Amino acid sequence: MSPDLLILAASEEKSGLFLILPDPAELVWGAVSFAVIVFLIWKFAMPALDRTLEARRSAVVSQLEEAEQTKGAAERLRATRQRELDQAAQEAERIMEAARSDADGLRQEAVARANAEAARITDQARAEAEAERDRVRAEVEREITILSLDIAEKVVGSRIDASVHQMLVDEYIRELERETAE
Amino acid sequence: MSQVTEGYADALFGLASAESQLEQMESELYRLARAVESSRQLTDALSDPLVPSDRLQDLMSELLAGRASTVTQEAVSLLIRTNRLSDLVAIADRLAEKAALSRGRKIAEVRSAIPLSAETVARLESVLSKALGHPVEVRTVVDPEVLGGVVARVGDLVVDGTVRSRMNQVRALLADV
Repeated sequence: MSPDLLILAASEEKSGLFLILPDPAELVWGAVSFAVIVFLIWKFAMPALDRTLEARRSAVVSQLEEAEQTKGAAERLRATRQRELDQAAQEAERIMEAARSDADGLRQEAVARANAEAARITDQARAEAEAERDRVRAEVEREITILSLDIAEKVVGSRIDASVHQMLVDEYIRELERETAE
Repeated sequence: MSQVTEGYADALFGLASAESQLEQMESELYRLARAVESSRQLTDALSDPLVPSDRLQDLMSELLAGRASTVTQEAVSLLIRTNRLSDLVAIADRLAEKAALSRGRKIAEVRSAIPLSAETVARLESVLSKALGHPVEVRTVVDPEVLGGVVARVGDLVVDGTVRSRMNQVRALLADV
């Protein structure tokens, strides 16, 4: 240690401005070294730093873009879902409407069918009643005819006496003679 | 006309001819047949297989006694014994036809409501013979069913002039209305 103290003691021998200024040679070498270091930093460290920063920046940008894309996809998905929901709701509404109209149609059809059936049954009953009435009337007419003829026969039978008989036989013979002559 | 009817008619024809009583027998059998025809009861009794033959013999003896000759009664008795009384009407008719044919005539059955006079029968015979172009023999049958007028039947030919047939025409006409 003592040699170093000696050097310090020796430099303290300078005076004035030289007390704070280095030696010119040291200054030159210092300046050169500084320039070299600056150059080296500018030449090698800065590009590396730049690359790193650029990489970070682009990573962040890409992440942001990715996030943006994800968000867009989510948005589209949501929109699709909404659209599908809307369509489903519309479809449901449409189906309900169709069902309502179908039910309406069926009800009207059933009512029409029931009406037609009722009309048919009424017509049939009426036709049957008419046929039965006609049948009974015809039957009565037939009975009356037979009865009248039976009575007529009895009357005719009782009215034919010997002279009428003879007249009928004579007429029969004359008729035969006329036919034979022809 | 069945073989049986024809056979019996032939047999009776032979029998009556041999006894020289053809006309009598066939006319008596013909009248008997008409009597059977007009009586539902008699027809049923004759064709009922459950009526014993001696009952039939009694019935027929009673019916014919004093009305028919012995040869006719014998003929009926024969039919009862051989179980052919149910064919009596057919046999009697066939016998009458054969007898008439043997005299060169056909039989005209004439039905009327009341008996016809001999004069009327003669006129009918003459006019029917002329109409048919063949001599006929009129057999009269009294049938109240005809009501009035007469109906003549010669074989399959029928000449109907009865009040009954006119009534039936009216009936048919009214039935169609």
